Amino acid sequence: MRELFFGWYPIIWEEMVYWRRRFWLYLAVYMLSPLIFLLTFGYGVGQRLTMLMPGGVSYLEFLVPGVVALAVFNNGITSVTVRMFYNRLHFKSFEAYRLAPVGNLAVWLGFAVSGTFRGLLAGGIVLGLVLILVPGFACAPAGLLWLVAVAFSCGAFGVFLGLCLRSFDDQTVISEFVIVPMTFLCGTLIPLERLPGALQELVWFLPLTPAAEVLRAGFTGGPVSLPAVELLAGWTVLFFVLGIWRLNCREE
Amino acid sequence: MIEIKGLTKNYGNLQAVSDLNLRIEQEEIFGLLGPNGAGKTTTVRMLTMLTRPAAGEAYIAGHEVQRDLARVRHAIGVVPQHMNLDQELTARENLELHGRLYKMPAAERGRRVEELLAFVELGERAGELVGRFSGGMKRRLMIARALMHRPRVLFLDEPTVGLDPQTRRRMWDLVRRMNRDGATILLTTHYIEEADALCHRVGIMDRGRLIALGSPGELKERVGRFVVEGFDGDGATYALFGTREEAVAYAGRTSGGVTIRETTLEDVFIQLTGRRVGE
Repeated sequence: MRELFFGWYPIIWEEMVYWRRRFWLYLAVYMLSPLIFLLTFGYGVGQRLTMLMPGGVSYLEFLVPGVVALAVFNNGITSVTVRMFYNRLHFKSFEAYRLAPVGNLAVWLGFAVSGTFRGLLAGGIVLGLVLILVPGFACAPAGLLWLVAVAFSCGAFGVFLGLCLRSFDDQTVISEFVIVPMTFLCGTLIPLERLPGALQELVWFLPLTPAAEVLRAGFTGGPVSLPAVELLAGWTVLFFVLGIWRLNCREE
Repeated sequence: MIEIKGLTKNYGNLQAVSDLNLRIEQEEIFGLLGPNGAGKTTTVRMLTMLTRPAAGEAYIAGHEVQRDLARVRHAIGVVPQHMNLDQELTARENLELHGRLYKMPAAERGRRVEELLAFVELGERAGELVGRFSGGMKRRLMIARALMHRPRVLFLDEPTVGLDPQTRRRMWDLVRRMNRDGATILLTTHYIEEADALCHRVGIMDRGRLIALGSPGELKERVGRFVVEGFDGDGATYALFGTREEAVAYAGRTSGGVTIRETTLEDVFIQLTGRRVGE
């Protein structure tokens, strides 16, 4: 246990040094796209979408948890993926972890928790924005616990992707084939019920769908669907197994 | 201190290192010399567990490299050929991170960071981001980082590649000081004069094989201490002799201008392979 703690903690420490140096930049960056989503979808187009919403909720009510999920997802994953990509392939500083007496489990955990923190920071910023911009919005305390679970899952996803990247082109592939489709298809900006037939079922194979579902239920204080929780847990375990497998493949 | 038995590594059909057997003694500076692609870096990567060997085994400070990862990692310090510092941390933070990865207690870590920053003459730049450092400063910081956890064995892979002559000399001084402080050092280089100036013993590698082993003096003795170098119209000619007198006598019988000089490790390499180190 001591080995595990001392292994992952330096990676978090390094992350905290970045935070200290660039906190205001992170704050501005993490605020920008959620703010655009809220203003354009929420207060712009969204004002006219009330009739399309399942269950009769306002679009803004639907949108807020989705934008939080998006912020956690995008930043939790991207922060780790980009850091690992540059550390592995550009600066080569990832080698320092491989040469140190630190196990693969500790390295995995260190980067996954770094991603979790970034996801939580991004999610927290969006929640703060929402409290200012959306009068009457209240977040159930359970929603915060689910936020941590979703952020950890995103961190785990980020580690796996970060270990798979081999070139700058791979980064584009991930952005175009993973991040962008999930942004629009996973029930964050548009209700799943409004997607074309078969797509409604297919999107459940994407990890952001259960994450958004769990957060939406958690924030409103409603019952959280067990299958969504199981899917989220399943994805996290899968990302963990794949991440450890990639770490075990020594780079030649 | 380092024992290598039958170490082999293939990349597809290419045999990068072939059946390498070697023993490096405690507090020795041992140089692996050879051209690019000779297998030097692959050897270091196998010894530092960054690459799995296809066959063979190695022991460092009595621990088997492939089986006893944690102990071996505590025993070794590595300065790779490429820069691998965190560019977004300061010099002090890079050392601090290394100390944390090696579980050094806070007080000892703090002392060691300052001591090593002074050792590599970076004390005044300790708070600057490494991304702003020159190549030589980064190299010195990498050496300081490799020494943080007081390793018994140091691997220096082409430690002076790309450095100007003045910085290279400073690096040599650092290597000698580390060795005086008790470190066993394995360095790879394709700079002949570096191996000559620093190493107690040298192993010459070519195409994945160790083709000669001994002190620089012994290796030169083996091919002849003096060289008569001339030019015959088609290219440079070399003739090696055991004594200066033999070399002078040969030069006297030769028409055209010739130069008599002492043998270098490059002459040894040419004699053994028929090629220059850079070819």
